[in-house]
Amino acid sequence: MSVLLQTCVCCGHRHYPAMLLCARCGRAEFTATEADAGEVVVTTTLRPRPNGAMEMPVMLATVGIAGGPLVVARLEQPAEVGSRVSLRLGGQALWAR
Amino acid sequence: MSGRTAIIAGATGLPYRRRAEGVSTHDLLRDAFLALLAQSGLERDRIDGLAVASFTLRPDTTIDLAWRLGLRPSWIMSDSHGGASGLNMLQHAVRAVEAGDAEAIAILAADRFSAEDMAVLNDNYNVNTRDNLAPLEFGGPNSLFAMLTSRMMQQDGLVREDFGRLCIAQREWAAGNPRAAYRDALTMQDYLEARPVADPLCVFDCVPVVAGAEAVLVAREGVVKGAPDIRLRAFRARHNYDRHEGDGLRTGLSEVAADLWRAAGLAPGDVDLVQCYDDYPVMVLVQLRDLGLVGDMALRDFIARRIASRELPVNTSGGQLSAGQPGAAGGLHGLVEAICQLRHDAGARQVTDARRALISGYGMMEYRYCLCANAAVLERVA
Repeated sequence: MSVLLQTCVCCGHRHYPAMLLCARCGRAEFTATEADAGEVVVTTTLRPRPNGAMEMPVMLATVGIAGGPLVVARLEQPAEVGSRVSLRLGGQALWAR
Repeated sequence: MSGRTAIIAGATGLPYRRRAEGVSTHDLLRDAFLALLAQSGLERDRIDGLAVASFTLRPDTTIDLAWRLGLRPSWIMSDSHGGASGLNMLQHAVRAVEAGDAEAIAILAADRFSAEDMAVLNDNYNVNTRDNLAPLEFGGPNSLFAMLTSRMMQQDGLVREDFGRLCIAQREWAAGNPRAAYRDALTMQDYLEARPVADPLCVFDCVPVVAGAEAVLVAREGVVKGAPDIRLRAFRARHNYDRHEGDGLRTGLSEVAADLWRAAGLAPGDVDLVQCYDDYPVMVLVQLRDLGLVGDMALRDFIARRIASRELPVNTSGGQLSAGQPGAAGGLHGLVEAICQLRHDAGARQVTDARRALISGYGMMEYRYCLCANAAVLERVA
């Protein structure tokens, strides 16, 4: 399932996560716009702690959606800054690959 | 104006401890309160205002603590705004004294986390954290600040050594602070070879969680006999300044800094010391830049010439990076250190003849970075 951006009916501004009022124009009418890709802005790899519960490193990225917001996603595989990734919702998590 | 003047009449705290078995958050708040009374010479019943910040006091709130301490306040507030809570409470307390709502306000903050408390807090900090970050197994704020650090490295041409210099300088300050959890010298080799947490951050870029408490007294002029005359010269805040649509490398301080300095009648170069909320080194640099301390210098040069040399006293307690982060009491950490310096109570780390201090607060992770930013200029008048 692709990501649903909250889009203001009045001015077209796109939000993720959802707002109560549009960040730009302050109205409260929204529709949903699908997004399925974006560009990697920055990444990090979270390292397991010694004796911690996490076993494998977790790769995360901030991804810019064209004409839309910056979102935080879990990377399925390493990705370079500036590369294009596809986005999908798997369970509650936003995944990028 | 009413003519009532608010004095910052006291500041103290408890030693920070990595392990604090058998001690509760309530105990820490009591002990900090008693220390504040002892310092000021006030009787308990003179305290008619109480402000509290704590993550682990719940389900109790300020009035429950007032009951347990036997207080009968005319003014109460609870603040849950993390790294901005200390200055937020100061802002309100000073106005309350000026307005005549209270004469002697104790501002208290403390936390004592179990490992489980910390995990629950990290995944349930707010709705966005619970719904959009915890499902990623993001591991708490470290990963988000790691990405902000990477962006600053790209934007300003910084390398890990630059952040290391800041951490080492703060550790040098911590050596003079008996309340700090970590006081041993930190070398660049230690820093560069330290356990990685979230690239590019290592353990020394992340605050060690401690149990601890901080306390500040704001009182009407004349209530506390013999206290140095320390006043709030200017305060400004701008929270959520960019509606969370920026890159996180600026804060609302960038918008209010000029007005803050104008209200204070000072320039950035006029302060004797600066305390910035240091949840991560990157945010110390962001706050210093937003407040006008960096000026036209390249950030890398500013770190080497001004911070690493300790020519500009920044986070003179060692900051939370060395002293430790006692949960919500981290929001009072820099304010208490600034007042301590202005009272000339700072012992081995005392900044000579300190009279003017800048303190900034930053906090409340929303989704990619924090929303809250505030700053105060304090002056010792006499």
